[in-house]
Amino acid sequence: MPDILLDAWQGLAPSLQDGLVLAGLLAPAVLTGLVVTFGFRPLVLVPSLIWRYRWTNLVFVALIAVSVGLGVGLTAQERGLRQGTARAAEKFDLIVAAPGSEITMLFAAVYLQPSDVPLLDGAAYQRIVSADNVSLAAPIAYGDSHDGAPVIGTTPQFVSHLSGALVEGRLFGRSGEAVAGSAVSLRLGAEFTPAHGMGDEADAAAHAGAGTVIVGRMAATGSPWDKAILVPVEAVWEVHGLANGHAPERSAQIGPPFDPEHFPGTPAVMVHAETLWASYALQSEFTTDSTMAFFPGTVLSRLHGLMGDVRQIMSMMAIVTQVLVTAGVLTGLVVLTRLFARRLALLRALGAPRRFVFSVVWCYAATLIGGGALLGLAVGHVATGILSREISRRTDILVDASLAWPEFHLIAGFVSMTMLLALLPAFLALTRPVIDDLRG
Amino acid sequence: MLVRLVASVLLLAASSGPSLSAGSGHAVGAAEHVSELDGVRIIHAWTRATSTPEALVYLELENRSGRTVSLIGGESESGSAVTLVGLRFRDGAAELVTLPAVPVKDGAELHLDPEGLALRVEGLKEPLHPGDVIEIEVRLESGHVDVDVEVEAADATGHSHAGHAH
Amino acid sequence: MPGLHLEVSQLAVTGAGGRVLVRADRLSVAPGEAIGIRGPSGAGKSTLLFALAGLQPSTSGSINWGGVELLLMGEGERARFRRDHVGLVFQDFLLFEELTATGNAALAAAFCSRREAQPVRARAAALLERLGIGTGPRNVMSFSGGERQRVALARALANDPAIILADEPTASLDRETADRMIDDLLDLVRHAGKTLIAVSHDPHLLMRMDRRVDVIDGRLREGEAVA
Repeated sequence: MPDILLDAWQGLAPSLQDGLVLAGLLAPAVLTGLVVTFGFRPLVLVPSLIWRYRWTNLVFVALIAVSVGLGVGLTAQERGLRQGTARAAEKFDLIVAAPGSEITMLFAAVYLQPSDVPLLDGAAYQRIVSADNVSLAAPIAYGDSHDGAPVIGTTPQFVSHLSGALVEGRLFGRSGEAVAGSAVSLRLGAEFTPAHGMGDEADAAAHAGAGTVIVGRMAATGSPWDKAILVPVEAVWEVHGLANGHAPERSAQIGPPFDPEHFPGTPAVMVHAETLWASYALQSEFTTDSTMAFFPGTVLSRLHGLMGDVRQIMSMMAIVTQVLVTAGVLTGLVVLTRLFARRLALLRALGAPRRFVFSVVWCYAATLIGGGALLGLAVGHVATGILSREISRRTDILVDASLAWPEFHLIAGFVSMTMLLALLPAFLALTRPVIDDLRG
Repeated sequence: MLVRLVASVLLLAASSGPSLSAGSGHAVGAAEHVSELDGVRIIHAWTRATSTPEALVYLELENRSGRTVSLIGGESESGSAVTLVGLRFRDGAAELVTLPAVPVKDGAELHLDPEGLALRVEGLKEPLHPGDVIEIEVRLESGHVDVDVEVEAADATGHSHAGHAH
Repeated sequence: MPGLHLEVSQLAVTGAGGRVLVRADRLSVAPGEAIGIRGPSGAGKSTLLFALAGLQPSTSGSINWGGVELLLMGEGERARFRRDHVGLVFQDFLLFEELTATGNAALAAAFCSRREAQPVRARAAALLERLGIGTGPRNVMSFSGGERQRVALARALANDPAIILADEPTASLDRETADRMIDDLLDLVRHAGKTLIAVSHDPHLLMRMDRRVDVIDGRLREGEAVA
């Protein structure tokens, strides 16, 4: 029987499962509400209590909303960041580089945070290009920059692979031409001279005479490549005084095939195969003493897996923070119920059953909690948008975070837990002496 | 996600009911860490403890057979099917997709690791507990290799013997 | 509902430290009778009134309303008794300021059974019309003192009680308004033959009651002359 249940559960569509979990999480709150209010109409009085101390109540609702909003904003952000980094790496099926740290290479080749690594030579490149099922093998030669934008040497085929059709202009056709990423401020026709190195250490004079003109612009990719300037890899080699990848009689050629004899080396090669199995076969083939091959997606997933514990801790902390804030708010409610103790005493003097007075106080607290949670959803939505934009701006990785089921579940759990806690101030309100309160 | 976890744990707890002695049908005890067929060695096969009907088996395959060998999939008495799967990324989310086969060149190794390639055992008949050993028959193009798969903790990231030389 | 007969004997209400707040050896009120309770401030008049409503803890002796012994009831039963038989009027009205006159007058509809709620609302509306307040959408926040006390009166009568207990009903009103209030109160009470017990300092009110009792130093005495 339980097996049947389990199978039935696993047979449900994920969104239906999520919806059911949400309903399950909200159920304690709803059931409590139904039991507490059964047979009464306490909601007639709740607006009156809320309006009476509207500013205090507003502060309480705002406190709940901010704690809920920041909690769900952060968890949504964390997921958005994971998805954004994974999306930014999606075009990079397999990276082949000299043996070393996969993470260093991931950061350098995919997220354009360069670091010095040994180069793959012409022979290694030749083996990659001639391997079975390779449909694209592009050198990624980083190290130069212009005005903070990385200048990357690669092939026209890679440009097309990365961003599809250009939104403006054409692909580079010779040394001295470049395709700009979507967020690069240089316009078509603008000229610049790549500086050697990146950041503060960039040497602007090193490549004097290597004037380069922008001839095209890529579509946005949502990755740091949007801020990069892509040039023929031949040009990178040439400005460093190296052979340009082709035999002297073909020195004007741009892009593959390269001549292994005249191939100066590249820190990384991006390899694309048409099928996934072929990519895995290539990874096996190029995991050797002289080459390392890895899937950026896999390395990222492992990194994210490491962060999984952090994520759980973060969720727990979000919950704990929210519960603490709510505990504070409920304590405030106990104090606040004293403010309208006279009204509650009046109800009892008029013959209202204790359970009715109880239900009025609970409904009042539940309204603040529910209002705070709903407003928190809005705060979370706004916070997520702001954080996403800020992270996107700082990392150049498009983070498109939005609230989703995990956040809705978090809020639902919070609502149920605190609405149960709200039974306490309701109980406490009943313990007050009617006559003393009635006389004010 | 936490909540989902809790929900599934509850469901699973409900389902684990009065099952017969855990591990019956599993060979508990010393497992072979190395299996070999015509120069193809499979070592350090492991999986994670689970109470879902599905498990991912990881292993290392070394090809010293002198020719290209293809890993196709497998079979197991412990489950209804064993298929070769790989991780694909679509729009920022990872999904497991079934692969027909992965060829391994002579002299090369194929690593089935978490967040990458794996043999997916479906329709597990019993939950897997740490310390259990299940047998799977790994299917290569050139034949079958029986492999003992050690069950590690549910949050393990590698075989407990990984790093040992065999 | 016509008035209930009240028979009080050996009533004592004790406060903190066992001090006797008010004592009434004997008090008898006929159904439909209106009596005034007077006495100096702090003499225990309001305490006596609340005790008669079953609200005062630490009360001993006997309070018998129409054959029903109030002090033998549990708290829930007393609440039920008040809900069914008692209408209360207070010096400072005790209204829900954010509700309309109707919302206040029909307050009991929020906590009585669905079957009882409809008559409560109907009576509340009729009483408000009769008292010249009407059932408009205005919150009582904007009402004058006299209007508020009339709303409070409608609330006290909306459950058609047999007993009206009023604690200084005119003390917060100016003379003219107070006189109108007295007219309204007595008009409604006598019209339906309800028992009325009013604590008051107001000679205009006391004068119009059938009978007056004095509470002096926590002791109840029958009095005849209007102070």
